[in-house]
Formats: sequence, C-alpha cells, structure tokens
Amino acid sequence: MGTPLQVKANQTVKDREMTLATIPSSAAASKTTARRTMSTPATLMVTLAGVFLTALIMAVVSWMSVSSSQGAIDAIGRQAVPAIVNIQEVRARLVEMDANAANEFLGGGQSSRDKYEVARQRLSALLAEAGSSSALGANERAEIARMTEQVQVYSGQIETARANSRQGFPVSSAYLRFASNLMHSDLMPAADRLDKFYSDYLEAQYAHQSSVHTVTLVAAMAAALALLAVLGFGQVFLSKRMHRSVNPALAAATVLIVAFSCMLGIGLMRSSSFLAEAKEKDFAALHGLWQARALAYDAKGDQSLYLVMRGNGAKYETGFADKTKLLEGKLSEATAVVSADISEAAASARANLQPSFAAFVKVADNIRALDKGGDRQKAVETATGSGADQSNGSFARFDTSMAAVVDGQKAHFDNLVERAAGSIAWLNSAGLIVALMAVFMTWIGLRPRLNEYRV
Amino acid sequence: MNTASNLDNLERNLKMMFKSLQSRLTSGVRTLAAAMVALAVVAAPLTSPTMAQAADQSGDVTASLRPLSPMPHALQMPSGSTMKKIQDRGRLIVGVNQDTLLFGFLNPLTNQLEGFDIDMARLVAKAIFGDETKIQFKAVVSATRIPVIQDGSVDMVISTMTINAARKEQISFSEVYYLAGQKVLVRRDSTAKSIADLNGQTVCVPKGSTTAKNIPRLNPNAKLNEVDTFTDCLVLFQMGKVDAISSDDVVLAGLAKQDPYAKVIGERLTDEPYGIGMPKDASDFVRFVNGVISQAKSDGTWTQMYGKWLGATLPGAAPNPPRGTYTN
Repeated sequence: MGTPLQVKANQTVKDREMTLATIPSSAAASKTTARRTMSTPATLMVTLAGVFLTALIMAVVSWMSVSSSQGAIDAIGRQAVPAIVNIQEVRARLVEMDANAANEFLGGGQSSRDKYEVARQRLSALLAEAGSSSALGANERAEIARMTEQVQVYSGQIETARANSRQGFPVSSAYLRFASNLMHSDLMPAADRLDKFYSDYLEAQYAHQSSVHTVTLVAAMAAALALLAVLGFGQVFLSKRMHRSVNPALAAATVLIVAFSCMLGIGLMRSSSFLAEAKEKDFAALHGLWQARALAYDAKGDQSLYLVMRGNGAKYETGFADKTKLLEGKLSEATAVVSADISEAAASARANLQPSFAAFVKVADNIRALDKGGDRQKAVETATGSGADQSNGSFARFDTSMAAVVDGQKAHFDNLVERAAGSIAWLNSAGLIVALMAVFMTWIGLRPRLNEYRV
Repeated sequence: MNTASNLDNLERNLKMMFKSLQSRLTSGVRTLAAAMVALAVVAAPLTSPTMAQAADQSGDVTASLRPLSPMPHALQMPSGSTMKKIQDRGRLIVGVNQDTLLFGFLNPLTNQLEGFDIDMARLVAKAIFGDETKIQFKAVVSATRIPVIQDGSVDMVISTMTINAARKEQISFSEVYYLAGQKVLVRRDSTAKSIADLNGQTVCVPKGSTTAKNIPRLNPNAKLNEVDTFTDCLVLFQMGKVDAISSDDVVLAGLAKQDPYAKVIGERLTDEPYGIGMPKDASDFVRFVNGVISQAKSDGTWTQMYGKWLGATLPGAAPNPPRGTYTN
C-alpha cells in the first residue's frame, strides 16, 4: 500500500522496467531473458541471503583461523617451549646438585651444601611441574615418575656419603662416585629423552600450526572475498536496475568487510610472525643457553671430582677438558642468537658471559697445575674458595651472568608470545560481530528498495 | 856326590817348577777372578733384572737388596744416585691408595692422606730431606700401581702391594714392611665360617689385586665381582649387591671399621707380604729404602706405627716386625 507519493514512485519504477523490457537489444536478448527469470525483489532477497550466508561462513572461518592460531600459541608458546625449557632446567639442576655435592665433599662447606639444597628443591618443583604437562604420554609420565624416584636414590647416596664423611670414613668418596655415576648414567639420559620428546612435540605442533594457519587464512580470505563479491553484486545490481549510483549501506558494509579482512590478515600474519620469531630465535637461544648452563655445572662438578677422586680422577680431568671445549662453542652459538633487544641488564650480562667463563677455566687450569705440582692443599683451597681468583667465586660470576641472560631471553620470549596472542585476541569474536554488522547494513541498504515493491 | 848333587838339583828344579806353576796358577786365578769381576760389572744392568729370579730360585720371593750401609745423611744423597735426583727435585713422589682405611686414606675431615702406608712414605721423605712434608702423594688404585712406577710418574708406590714373582718381573720391591693375609668379610648375620661356605655367592674384589687371582683357586664356586677399589666393594656390599668382600686382613679390618654390620671370618687364606714398589733399574733407591725400613723396624718406629693404626683394630698383641731377607 503506502502513501500516494510512494505508489507513484513504484508505478514509475514498474513503468521504467516495462519500457526496458519492451526494447531489448537483439544481442543481449537471450541473456536478458535469463536475467528476467528472477524478479528484482527476488534478486535483492537472494543478495541479502547471499550476504548473510557468506558473512556467516566468513565469521566461522575467521573464528577457526584465529582459534587455531591461538591454539598454536598455547601449544607452542605456553606448553611445548616452557616444557622444554623446564626439562633443560631439570638437566641443569641435576648437574648443579652433583657439582655442589662434590664441592661440599671437597671442603666447600655450608655454602656448597646450601646451593645443593636449593637446587634439589627447585628440581623437585620442576619435576612436579613437568609431570603435570598435558602434552605428556604414558611413557613420559612414567619416565618423570622414575626420575623423581632416582633423584631420591641419588639424594640418599649423597646423604650416606655425608654421614660417612663426618666419621672420616673413606667409603664416603665411593658413595659420592656412585651418586655421580647414577646422575650421569641414568638421570641425565632420562632428561635427554624427555627433551627429545618435547622437541619432537614442538616441531610437530609447529608444522601443524603452519599448515592449519595457511589453510584457515586462505579460507577466511576466500570467505571475505565471496562476501565482498555478493556485496559488489548487490551494489552493481542496484546501480544498473535502479539507477542508484552508490548504496551507502552496502558501501559501508563493503568497507567494513575490506577493513576486517585486512585486519584479520594482518593480525594473523603478525601473530604467526611473532610466534615464528619466538620459536625459531628466542627458543633456540633459550635452549642453547640452558644447555650451556648445564654443561658448565657439569664441568664444575668434574673439576671438584678430579680432586676428590685422586688417582682415579683422570676421566674427570678429561671430562672437564671436553666439556669446557664444547661449552665454548655452545656459548658462542647461544650468545649469537640471543635477541638484540633484550633488557639492558641482560645485554650487559651477555657481554660478560664469555669473559667470565674464560676466567673460570683459567682458575681451573691453575687448580690442576697446583695439584700436579704437589700443592694439593692450595689446589683444594682454590677449588672451594669464593674469591675472585678461586673456583666458586669465578663460577658464581659466570653463573650470575648466565642467569641474567636466561631471564632476559625468557622475558623476551614471553613478550613475543604475548604479542602473538595479542595480535589476534580481539579477532576471535570480531568476525561474528563484523558479519552481523555486514548483514545488518545490507538489510538497511536493501530494505528501501524491497519496500518499493511492496503493494 | 854326583848322585847327591843330582838329587839336590832335581829338588831345586822341582821347587822352581812348583813355584813357577804356583805363580802361574795364582796369576791365572787372579786374571780369571778379575775377568769375572769385570764381566759382573759390565753385565750388572743385564743381570739385575734376574735378581728376582735368583731370589725366587733361592725360594724366597720377598728377598730384596741388602740395605745401604752406611745410610747417607739427609740432604746429602750420593751424587748421581736416584736419591740425589729426588733431593734436587725437592719432593718425593709417592703413589698411594686413598681409600684403604688404616693404611692409606683421604681423611674427609682433614682432607689429608693418612695411614700406615702414608707414615711409611713419610719416613723415606724424612730420610732424604730431613723433612717428612717434602712429599707429593699421587693416588693410585690396584690396577694402576705398577704402570705409574713403569712410566716414571712416581718414585715409589706404597699401597698394600703384595710382593710376588710376577710383579717382580716388572718392578723392584723393598723388603717386606708388613705381613698381611687374605681373608673374607661377610654380613654380621652370615653363617659362613670361611670362603668355602660362599658357594654361589658373589665375592667382591679389587681389579688387578692378588685376591682376585686367589678366589677361583680357593673357591671355584664363588662368583667374582671385580671393581676399581676396596671402598667400591663396600658400597656394593652395603647396597646388597655382593655377599662378601675378599682382601687382605688389614684392608678388611678397615672396611669392617666403616660398617658395624660386617665381620671378618676365617683363618688367613694366604700370606700377603707387603713391599714398596720402585722402578726396576733403581737398585740404589731400593737399598736406600730398605735401609729406612730396617731402621724403622729396629728402632721401634714400626711398632709405634702398628700401635697407632692397627693396634686398636686387629686382635692380639702387636706382632714383631716382619724379618727382612736380602740378596746382595
């Protein structure tokens, strides 16, 4: 029905359409006939339905895309990598315990004992944390449970060594050696197996994330393009059929979808880029730093055991030489990939890593020279002292620097993961909102035209 | 007259011939003796390795070179001697065991090596330098005792080492400074009375020790578990991974002292005469060390050392020091 003015306008539209229909061009006759199979209101309704459908698809696909990226961030940035770092720290704490036990035995006293106890408690917490990871299979859980038991056995042997040592019994050094052998022949290989499991898990997750990310991003872009195509069709249809230059609502919906598509694409790409940087660079640096730290503790343990196991200490002397040589390479590799924009304190500590390690090695060389020169007393004092030119002191400076670099690199990694998550956090529900807005705008844009056909 | 004169001439000629023959014989004997002496001097380095064989042939494998007499004063070692080289170096280098309680062990409380063997080594250092602290200990285990002597890493090894013919082929030994004997250590609640009762049970012994070689002969049905050191055996024993430990009685006494749930059983299965090991070609040093040992035995030092380290652990009164037997 409508007002008289509306009725007149409708009549004008119908007359124009009839005029157009009575003078078809011969060339386009067949096509025009085909188009005429659908009336204008029907076409407009189909357009509206098409917008609704494609908007829905875009919303769902973009949600899937964002969700899969968030899942990858969780799996890689918040599970696999922290789990690997956790296991690397487990390795480091194991050998830190061993190094401090040997140093205490040599005469390192309460200071070494306190460090041993701190490392033991931290190790317990790390193993409990490792056991709670959802990424673990039954075998890995059993491995962690067995490691926890073996740490108890190790601690028991150290306690027995201490008890015998207090009575001046030489069997104490044998217990220390048995404990150290347990550490290196059982616990460290178990930690290495877990590290490999998590590393494989990380690579699998990353490969999966990369493929899913690509597929969902392409699908989301395809859905957005389909929506834009429907909107474009509506715009062109209205323009041709009703001589409207631009339908503002459809245009606004188009701009909204274009903007959303761009932001979705940019957000996903940025997220993926941050995650890739976190995994490829920061994680590699963290992994290398923790391995270097564990190797350093191991070398420190060998240095003490060389003096404890007099006459039977050749393997510890060789072990120290091999480990420090390996460590020099690891330190070079790890510090080379440490992020350039870590905190100032961490950057300063990084610059100090290699010099402080070289100073520790120099002290170790001096200890062996003293021992071989017959001055065991001085060698032991140097091995257990905390002065600048003594072993515990020089190693503490290296380890303090190492801890600062590790903390700085971990903070950088966490920051990248958060930025990866932040880049797409708002996109999760934005797709649905944008889709609804696009449908609403299309409805707003088409409703007056549809109303023109209402009687 | 002629007859008498002829008889006189005959007698004179016979005397001259006899004197000439006597002179020639004496000269020949002297020449022969000189030649033998010269041969002995020239061949001395070649013949010295077979002294052990000579001693073995004499039936006493423990016989060592006669002590140096008179002994040089401290810091006045004879020029060119092994002792002079040690004196010039400024310290005596001695291979010792560091985990044999009572004989040679690193006291965790003092971080110093202590024991009967350590004190014996200090006596030698004191004889050379007049200062028992002029000494560098290098810890050895059973399997490395002979190699460190052969490669010159140490001047001597004093590490509860039994003198036997096989070892004397490789190194020289001092006279016996302690006479031990192989026994067996078992759990306190064990019913075994001797190694014969350990059929099917695992007996722990240090690698390269004489006890490791003796067990199959003493009880072929016992299982052997060879490890690096005596104390490794004690750890395995306390962990329940071996049933018994076999070694010299003094070593086992040291182990039993560290484990109140262990006991030493049976009679001495073998005699284990301990000697100080030295390089094969250091006969002057062997004589010097024998001088130090025999001095310690005769002046009461040995008995004091026994009382200090073993008196409270081994049953019975202190024995007399083992008698030294010598070859020239």
